[in-house]
Amino acid sequence: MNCLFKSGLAAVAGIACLAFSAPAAASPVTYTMFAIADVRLGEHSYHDAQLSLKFVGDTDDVQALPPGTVAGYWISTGTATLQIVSGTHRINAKFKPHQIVVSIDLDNGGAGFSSYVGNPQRFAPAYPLVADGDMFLNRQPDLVKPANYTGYAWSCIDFPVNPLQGGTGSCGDAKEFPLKTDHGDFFVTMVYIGQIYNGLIMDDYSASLNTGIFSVLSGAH
Amino acid sequence: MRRLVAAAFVSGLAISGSAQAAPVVFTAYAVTDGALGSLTFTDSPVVMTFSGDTENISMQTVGGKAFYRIDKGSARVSVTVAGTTTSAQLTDGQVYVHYDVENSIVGFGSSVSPDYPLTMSCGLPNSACAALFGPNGIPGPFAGLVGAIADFDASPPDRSFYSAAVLNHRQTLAKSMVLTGTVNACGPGYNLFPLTVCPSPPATKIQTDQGEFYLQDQTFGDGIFTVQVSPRHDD
Repeated sequence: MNCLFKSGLAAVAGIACLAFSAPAAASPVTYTMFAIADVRLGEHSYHDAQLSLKFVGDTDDVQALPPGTVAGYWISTGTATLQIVSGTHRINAKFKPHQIVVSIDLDNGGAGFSSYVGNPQRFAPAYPLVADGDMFLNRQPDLVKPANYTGYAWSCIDFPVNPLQGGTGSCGDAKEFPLKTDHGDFFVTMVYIGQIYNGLIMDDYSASLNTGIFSVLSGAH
Repeated sequence: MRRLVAAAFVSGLAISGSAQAAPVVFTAYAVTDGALGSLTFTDSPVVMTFSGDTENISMQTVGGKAFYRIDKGSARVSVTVAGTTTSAQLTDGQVYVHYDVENSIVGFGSSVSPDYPLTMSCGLPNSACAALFGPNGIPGPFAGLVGAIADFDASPPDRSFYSAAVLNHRQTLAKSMVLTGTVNACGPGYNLFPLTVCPSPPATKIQTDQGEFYLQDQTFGDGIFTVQVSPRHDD
């Protein structure tokens, strides 16, 4: 996914409503992403919490990524929610509209929950939570067929991060880019990182030592 | 590996006394393949849990490296297919949880294999992981937390490849933590070519209240393992 969202969805962000045909008849669809992550919601921080993101939409709104970017699909119309489980705490929150996008990159191998962050808004292709992995390359996935994938979980504001791919070598400070929910501002901080050379993250793939599970489910579960 | 397991049985020590006993739940998350009773599944989310007590975790140290194991507890498995989750209680005494820090293996073992039914490791079949680390191993860094920890433990110069949270990570089954790695869920062992194919189910299936359970992984994806320790009994 290292190029994905730079050349792909970052470009898409500027032309957000180009419509392409969805590959199947319209029906409810639910996307979920799960990982263990360091998160903050409102005034509370949680270390190694179970983080589940959910997006409920309709396959009719799945669009192909525009020509000239990368092969893949994305959907921005739907309702996005989150659940945090930490110890005995279980918190559910709803994202405010026009922040979360679900996408899948078939060229570089990645999928998950991207976002529009900041003021003015900019596109964060690997934030709040996406996954890289071979599964996204060799199974010809889309955002319509039910499927489950695992991969390296990324929560990185500045992506691609690899300086050789145009990145800064750092993911940036998520606290400067809060996602808005009905329970306050939401942040994810990526803490388990490898592939660091001279203090810089030099890989947009396996530098994340975290794992995410991304699922496409038929129907609004 | 076999040496370590044997040593753990012979001279394993409980790592915490009764005053420090605390409920603990180990959980493994994967996307894999297999069957639970009459339900066969492919590329499906599988969650295994093992509930026990920290006082029953044994630790053996060999060459300065720790091996943790707990046999006493209650295990469950759940499989989600098309949004519907089926859960089962495993008959006691069939699986245990272990963490072999040096060889970067963590998860659920059984009489079939320490690697089976569901473990996470360095990115290769578990038997090949040990050769990766140490002075004669391949220079790091490695993908997944379990491999990263084994890497910089064996080769301290590799610490520079990892973030502070990785370097300060807990290396025990007795404290809350998370580990990630490549899923191993193949009783007889994966084919060498192609590496990702598990050729058959194990001869011995795991017994549950929903029928027989086995995993025959064809996915070779990544997995998550967590330790969640609750407040002590005497708190």
